[in-house]
Amino acid sequence: MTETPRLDPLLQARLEESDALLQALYRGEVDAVVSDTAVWLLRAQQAESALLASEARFRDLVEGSIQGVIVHRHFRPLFVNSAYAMLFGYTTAEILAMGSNLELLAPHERARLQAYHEAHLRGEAAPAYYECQGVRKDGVPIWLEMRVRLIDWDGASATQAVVVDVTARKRAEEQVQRACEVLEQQVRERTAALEQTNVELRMEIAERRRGETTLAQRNQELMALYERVKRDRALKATLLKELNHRVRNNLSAVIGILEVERERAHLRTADEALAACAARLKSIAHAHDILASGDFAPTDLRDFIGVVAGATLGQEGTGAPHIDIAFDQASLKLPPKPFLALACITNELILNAVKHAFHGRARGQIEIRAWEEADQYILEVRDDGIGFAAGAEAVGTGLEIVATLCGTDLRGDCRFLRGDGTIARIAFPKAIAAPGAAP
Amino acid sequence: MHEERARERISKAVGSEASYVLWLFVAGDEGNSRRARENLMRLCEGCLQGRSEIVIYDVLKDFQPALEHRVLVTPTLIRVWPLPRVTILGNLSDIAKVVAALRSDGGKR
Repeated sequence: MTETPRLDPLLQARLEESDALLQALYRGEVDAVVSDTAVWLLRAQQAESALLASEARFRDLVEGSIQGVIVHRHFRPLFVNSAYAMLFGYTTAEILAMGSNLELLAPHERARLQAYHEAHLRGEAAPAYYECQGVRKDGVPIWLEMRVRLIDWDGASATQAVVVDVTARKRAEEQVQRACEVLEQQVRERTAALEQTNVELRMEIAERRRGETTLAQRNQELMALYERVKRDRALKATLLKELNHRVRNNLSAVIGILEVERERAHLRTADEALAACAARLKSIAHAHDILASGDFAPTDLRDFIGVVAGATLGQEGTGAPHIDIAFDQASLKLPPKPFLALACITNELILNAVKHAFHGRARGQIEIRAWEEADQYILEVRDDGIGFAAGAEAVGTGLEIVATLCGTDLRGDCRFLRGDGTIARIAFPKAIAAPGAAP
Repeated sequence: MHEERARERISKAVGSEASYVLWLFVAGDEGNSRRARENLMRLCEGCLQGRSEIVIYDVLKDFQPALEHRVLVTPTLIRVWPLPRVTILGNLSDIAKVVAALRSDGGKR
C-alpha cells in the first residue's frame, strides 16, 4: 500500500478535529461538553473519581464518534469504539478479545504497518497518516484511512488510531482510474490510427507531387513540341512560298532559254536546239535540287560547280580532250535567285570552254574562282585553251544567255579577257545577294 | 441575534488597532476554564501586548453562542480575526503552543 501524502481536505480536518478533542480530553483540560440540549460538566469531588468520571465521559464521547477509534498496545486492542467495530463487522467485545488487531488488516499490509509501529516506538520518522486495506468479518476487503499517534494509556505507552472507511472513495477512484485507462487506450488507438492516416496521406501527397512533376514535364515537352510544330509550319509555309517563287523563277529562266533558242532556231536543227535546251534545263534542275536540299537558304556556288563539272565531264565523247576543272577557290554563298542565275552562267561558261577552247588538244584546264572586291562579287572562269580572236564578239546561244542573266538577274556585267586562254569575268553588286534584296 | 453582535464586534475590532479578535468559551469558574481565562490574560499582556479584543462566553449562562459556533467542549479559544479561524481546546497552559497556533494559518489545536 502506498503512503498517503494527500488526504481528502475535509476528511483531514475532521480527523484533526477529533484528534484535538481527544488530546484535550487526555490532558484533562476539558470542563464541560456542550450538547444540543444541555451543558455536561465534567467536574468531580475527588481527583480519583474525577479521573474515572473523565474517562467515562471520554469513552462516552469517543463512543459517539462517527470515526472508528482504537487504542492498542503492540496491536493488542485496549479500547475500540462502536464505529471501529462496525467498520469491520464485529462487535467491540469480539475485537477486544482478539490477540492482535493486525488480523483486521489485509495480510499484505501487516508487515508495513508493523514496521511503521516499531519506527514510532523508536521515535523514528514514519507516516502518521496513511491508507491501508482491511478485511471485514465477512471477508469483504475495505479501504481505510488512518491517523495514528502514541498516547499514554493507564500509565504506559499505547497507540491510538482514528480510522475512516474510504472504500467508496477508493472504488470511485478506481472507476475513474479505469475510465482514464480506457480513455488513454482509446486515445492511443486513435493516435495510432491518425498516425497511420498521416503516413498514408504523406504517401499520397508524395505520389501526387510525383504525378504533378511528371505532368509538368509532359506539359513542357508538349509545349516544346507545339512550338517546334509551329516553327516547322511557319518554315514549311515559307519554304512553300519560296518553292513557288523558285518554280516561277525557274520557269522564267526556262522561258528565257527557249526565247533565246527560238531567236536562233534558223541556225541549227530542232534536235540540236532541244538537246541544248535539255542540258540547260538539267543544270537548272541541279541548281534547284541543291537549293531545295538546303531549304532555299543561301547556298555555296562551289556545291553546284561540283555537280555541274561532274555532269559536264560525263558528257564528253570519245577522243575529246581530258579537262581538269579546278574550283577550290570558287566559294561564294548566295541566296536562291543570284545563285540560280550564277549557276546557269557558270554552267554556260564551262560548257562554252569545253566546246570551243580545246580543239585539237589532249588536255585542258578550267579554273573557276570567286572573290569579293569592294562592293562587288567577282566570278572568273579561266581556261588555258586557244582563246578568242581580238575583236571577236560572243554571239553563241550560251554566251547570250550569260549576258542576259548577268544583266537582268545580277545587275552586273560580263567581260571576256585574253589570258593564257580565255578569261570570262562576271562582276555583280553585293547588294543583289544581301538579305532583303528582291527575290 | 448573537451572529449579528459578533459581526458588529469583528467589524469594530478590524476597524480599530486590534490585531486579534479572540473568543473564549468557558464553563463558569470551573478549574480549566479559570486557568484558560488567566492564561489568556497573561498572553494578551505579554505576547499580544494589548493588540487584541477578547470576548468571553460562559456556556453555563448561555450555551447558544457555543452551539452556533460548533463549540463542543470548554474551554475553547477561537481566533476569529485574522482569518482563517483557529480553534484551540484546553486550558491554554502550554503558552508557546497557543502562541504558535494563534500565529498559524488555520486549523484546530
